[in-house]
Amino acid sequence: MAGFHAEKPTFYCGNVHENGLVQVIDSGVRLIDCETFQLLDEYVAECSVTVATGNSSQVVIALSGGLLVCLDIDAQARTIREKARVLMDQEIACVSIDSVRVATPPTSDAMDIDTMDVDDHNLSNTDATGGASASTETHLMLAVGLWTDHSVRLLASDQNTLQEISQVRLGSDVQARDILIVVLQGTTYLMIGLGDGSIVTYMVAYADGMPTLSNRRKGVLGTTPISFSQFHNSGDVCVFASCDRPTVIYALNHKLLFSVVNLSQKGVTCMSSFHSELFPDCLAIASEETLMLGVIEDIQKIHVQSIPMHESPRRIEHSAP
Amino acid sequence: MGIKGLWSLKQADRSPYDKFLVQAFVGETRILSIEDNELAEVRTGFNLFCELIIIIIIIEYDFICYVCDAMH
Repeated sequence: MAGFHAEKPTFYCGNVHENGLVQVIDSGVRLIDCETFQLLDEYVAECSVTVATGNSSQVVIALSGGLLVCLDIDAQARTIREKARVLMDQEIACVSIDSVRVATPPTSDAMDIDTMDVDDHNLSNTDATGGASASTETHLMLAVGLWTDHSVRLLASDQNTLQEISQVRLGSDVQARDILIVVLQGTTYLMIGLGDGSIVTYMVAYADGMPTLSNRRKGVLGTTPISFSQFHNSGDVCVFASCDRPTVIYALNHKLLFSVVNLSQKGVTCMSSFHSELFPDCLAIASEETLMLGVIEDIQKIHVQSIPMHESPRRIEHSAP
Repeated sequence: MGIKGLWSLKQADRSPYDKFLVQAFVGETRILSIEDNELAEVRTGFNLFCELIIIIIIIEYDFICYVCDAMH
């Protein structure tokens, strides 16, 4: 476990291509080999990381002072490379990312037939008919909750730039504590969890890679700050909102539905899906004092298969029925 | 206990199964891993050091044993 820094708290970690994993700590980002756990590369941030998120090829970190940095994980070279950064005008409370495929228009080709035969270099950029072919690029969309003005900013990153596209006011004097862009049954949603246990949701539509928000809904889940995680239930993506009244959010017939989870302990602080051969389709659920593994049999109820622990868990034994 | 973050990790990109459960606490990070039919805490170098000292004390309880530093 040499590459993994265990003596510091982790802000985010996840698998990346190819056979790597990233760990974000307060000093920066570590790229680690999945099998040997050796450190492959490290990005040292110029000041402390406050929040972080990522996907299988990118990591986005927010630094104290409001700096937002996008990092690419090069799967072949196995290195971390800074791609873009922007300074927001306030501290960043939370961030979520989505990858959007954007069709790039064919490049205009003003060459006439005569010069094409002479210049071999340009020939490779054109197809048989003499025009360049269209392709798609992947852009990164970021949703950022800011600390002071209770707004959410949407930013887009392509090539080496990161710029703000739009913003929404949360319409509340409570801070956003977590944010999530998620696709449920083919529709993209933006969810914001507030510090008082309320939730704001929007539908997101993309046109030419630019997002527009609609269908704003606000509701109350509980009374403590909400944090989001995702899991699969019967093949569909669902969202787990952790708070003192943990709730599963899912889509059915283009509507968002909310289902309260019945758990013996009060309140959930965070959750991660955990699907292993030994414990398939499980959710690891943490509260102030316990960690448990459980399975949601259907959206309406949760069935506990393991015993909640009352001390820091060191070992969980599985006894076959 | 105060777990501040939870993430699952696979041992290889294309593996269908998660192998590690990473728990972030205020001052440290702990990792649980599936090994031999149980989900147990992964021993980092620091934990192994403490266990060496404890084993020496148990084995040598009949003797006067000075345990200074497991590295010597």
